[in-house]
Amino acid sequence: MGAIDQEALARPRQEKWISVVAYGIAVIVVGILPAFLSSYIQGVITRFLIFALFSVGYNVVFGYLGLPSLGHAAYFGAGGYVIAVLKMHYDIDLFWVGAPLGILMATFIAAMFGILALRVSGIYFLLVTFALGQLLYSVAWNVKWLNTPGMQGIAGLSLPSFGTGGWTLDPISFYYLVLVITVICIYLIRKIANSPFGHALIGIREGEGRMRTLGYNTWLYKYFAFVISVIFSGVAGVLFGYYNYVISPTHLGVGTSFLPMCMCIIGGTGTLLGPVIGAALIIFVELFASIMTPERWPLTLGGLFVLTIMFAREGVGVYLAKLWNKMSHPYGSIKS
Amino acid sequence: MKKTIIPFLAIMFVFSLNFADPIENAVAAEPIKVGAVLNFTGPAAMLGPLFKNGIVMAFEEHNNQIAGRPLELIVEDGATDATTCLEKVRKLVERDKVKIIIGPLMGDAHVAIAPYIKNKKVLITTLYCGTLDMAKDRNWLIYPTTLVGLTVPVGWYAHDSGHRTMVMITSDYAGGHGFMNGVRLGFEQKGGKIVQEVFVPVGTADFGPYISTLKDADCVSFFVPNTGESSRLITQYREFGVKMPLYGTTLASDLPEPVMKELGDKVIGLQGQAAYVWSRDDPINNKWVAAMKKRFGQIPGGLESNSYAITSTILTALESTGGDESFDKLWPAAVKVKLNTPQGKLSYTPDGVAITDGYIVEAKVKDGMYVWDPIKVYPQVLDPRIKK
Amino acid sequence: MEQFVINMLNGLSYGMVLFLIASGMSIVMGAMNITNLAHGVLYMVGAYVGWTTAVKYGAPFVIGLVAGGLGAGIVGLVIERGFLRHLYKKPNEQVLLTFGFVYILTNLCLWVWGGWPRMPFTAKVLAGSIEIMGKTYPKARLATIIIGFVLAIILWWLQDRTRIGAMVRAGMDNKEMTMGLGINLERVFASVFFVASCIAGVAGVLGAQLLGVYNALGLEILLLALIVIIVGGVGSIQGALLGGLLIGVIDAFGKALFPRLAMFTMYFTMIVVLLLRPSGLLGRKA
Repeated sequence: MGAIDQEALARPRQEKWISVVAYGIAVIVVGILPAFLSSYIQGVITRFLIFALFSVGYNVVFGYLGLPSLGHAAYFGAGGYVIAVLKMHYDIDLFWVGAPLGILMATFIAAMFGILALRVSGIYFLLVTFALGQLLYSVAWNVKWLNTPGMQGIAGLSLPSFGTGGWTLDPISFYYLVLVITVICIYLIRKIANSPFGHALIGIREGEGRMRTLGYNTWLYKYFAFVISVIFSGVAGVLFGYYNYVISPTHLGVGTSFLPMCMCIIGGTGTLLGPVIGAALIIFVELFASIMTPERWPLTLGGLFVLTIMFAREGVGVYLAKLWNKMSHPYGSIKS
Repeated sequence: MKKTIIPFLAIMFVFSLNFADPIENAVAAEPIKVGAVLNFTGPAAMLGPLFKNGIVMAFEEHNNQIAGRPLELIVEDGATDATTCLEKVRKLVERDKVKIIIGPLMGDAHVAIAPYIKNKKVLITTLYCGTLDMAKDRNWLIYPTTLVGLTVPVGWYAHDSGHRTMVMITSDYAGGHGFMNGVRLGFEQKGGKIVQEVFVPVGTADFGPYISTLKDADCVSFFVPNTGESSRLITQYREFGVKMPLYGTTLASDLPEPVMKELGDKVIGLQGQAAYVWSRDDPINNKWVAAMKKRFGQIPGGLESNSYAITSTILTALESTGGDESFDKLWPAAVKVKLNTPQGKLSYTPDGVAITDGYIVEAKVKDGMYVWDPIKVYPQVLDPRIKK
Repeated sequence: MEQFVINMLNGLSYGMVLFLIASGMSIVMGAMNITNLAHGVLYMVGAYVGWTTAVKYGAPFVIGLVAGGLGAGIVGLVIERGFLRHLYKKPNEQVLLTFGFVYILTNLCLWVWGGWPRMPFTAKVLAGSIEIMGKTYPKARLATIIIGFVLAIILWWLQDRTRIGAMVRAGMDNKEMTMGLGINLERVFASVFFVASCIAGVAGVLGAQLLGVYNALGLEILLLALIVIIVGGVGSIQGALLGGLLIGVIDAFGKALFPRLAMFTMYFTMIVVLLLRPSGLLGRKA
């Protein structure tokens, strides 16, 4: 009882200025600072934002719904491939054409694959989504139309144009474009997670039978959650295609599918910003480690995974939040 | 959410601080930065250190400095993956501001990088051949020659040995197609006929099913990438008891001495193309092999020779520009370089394609050691599609 | 006809290796609900240890098989006792942990054994080839088929006809009830994980007869194991055997008949099976 009282009392006042400060720093760090960094660092942060968006979207299925998908790269890559094919075969790099088509393609594939994958759950769901992703991978590898002559994948992509005549996009304005889109998407996902729909998903995760008894059409809920999650994968994939200059079958395959999964688990599954922290950790640790020791970086990255599991099992994000709680309420016992 | 955002911001902030650009050094003798994208992880992980040895050797021969400016080597791991290679090239160009990149190995990485690097005013090299298309951009040094140019001698040699029909086993990717088109071009130039071309995917573990389907011909030639696939193909070819003579490509670099020893009888008598042979008796080569052996404790092979020759080209060009590494000065100087390398006489076409000697070799045991013995030299080989 | 027999033998020998790779992973998945992504790396460790024993130190091939099995088994046991033990019923954490070990062990192997691939090796008696219907065929492949069948029978017997197998199956069906019967499930699980890792190691040495060993093998093998499990179904030796042989044979005929679609044929088979039976041909119902 005491704990609840304290929470009710402490939260509004203390957290108000904290959140003001927090958002202030946020605006400075991601909003202003990058403008003064080199284009390479801008690129790295852009990459981080894209994967943060990918992971937060993935988390809708993985965290809220509790279904381990090992095939989200298929939709991520599909978005990128649409950009690439438009550029290679039709010489179209207009954002207003590429982005909607890319997202539509990802959604369309997910609408089909979702029907197949949602026949099962648990570990079988992981295996089925893996299989479907690998099918796309092998198609992209084998079909000539989807490959630049001389390599597996499509090269020579560029930043999008907006049909605005003289003005073309440079890396820093692309960074801000990605930033705005990512923030909007994360805000939307937050809305979804806090809506009755989002609560229903958590209900299904905790006990599908119970929800069905309550009269929910759980299959439909799961199906919509899957498609919604994939829409964000598609957005991330489109941005990644523009960012990366190259799209290759690996971006459809299991290697890329592991990324959002690891990011979610490291940061904190089923929390809104956990995946963002996970994405930051993986992208920046891998980058630093491979700059420091080109031969031994996998040890550092693997070590990070193992240490996270052993010492911050619910995810680094949740761990840090608890730590923060302890520090800011030294006498309280508030649970996050 | 509010509870997670602050630690997150703290992390972001620390990371961004660390990422601030290195402050420009105001000292007069600013180093000449040379970037290198080599493979230290992934399927071709073993090749990175060897390529690096060759570069280090060339650096040390110039006492790590040109015209009073120290040389600085920035090595990146390409992880045997085209996307990673492109990422690392972008890092070298945009963060480290290098003007010289000793480039990635795989053909698909070249294709991925070429459009990006085209107008960046950076001199970039291949490590083991490249396509003729890349030469059009005029910023690639392509050593030892194009893919096709490297293997044309195999076609000539097979025909000279009295074979009239051939089956080809081709690894199904850009590099594989390039190498085997060279063999085809050479063989057909002399009037031979290709009766079958079997395409095998990159990373094939079991070649048995492909070997079982080979048609009858006078001889078989193959290219599959890297040591693992080549040695598996040779082992399985012998195990399945195919009697047709086998001609290989890029042999000396794919199958160095320790690998030959493990293959034993299966490799003895195998003939084919090699860019560089350490056992060739030649004063420049002998001296270099001795120096490499002393410095790194092992006999050098085709990979060290390639990166050494490329680096030597760049350093010689830098000497002639007086240490000016800007692309507009360095590129014209580089394609004019003429050197005597351990592989033979070296010069370049105006587009940056190297011209040097090619060898046909045979696996033999000499003084208890497995060696690739040069049995025929094709001097100053040039891709037949390039007009002189 | 000869061509058909040769293709069939190719498929069966490759399929036997696939079966051994997948069986351990499938049992661990079914019996313990553990997704062990490091399984492919254990295969690689086994193959490397076998190579060191049999080629570098020249021990007989059989000793190499045992050493490879034990080597992988010990590494597996360390992972289970040291880490996975704390993570029962936590699938997400298992995924991240074992994926971390994929990175770590792959890089350690690179450190210890270097990047140069190791050549295929086999026993002295199995080197060389014999004539089958007028075609030359390598003996090592025939031996792989036979050894694979023997191991399959032993494993099936362990699973279906012994007390420990009964305990494992009971644990799969109802954990609480089994523990209530006074069975130390933790010890059973540790032994299952150890045996599964040993099988991975033995598969590594047997597979090395065909494929040799190289550093990227861990992930390639993991993908193959997942494909076999999808086709065969989770949790049974019979499923892994059927899945392995089916994929092996289809892969061999696919390579021979449609060489440029090699990879596609394998994935296509997988999708067809998924459409017909989402939980695999012999899997328990999902």
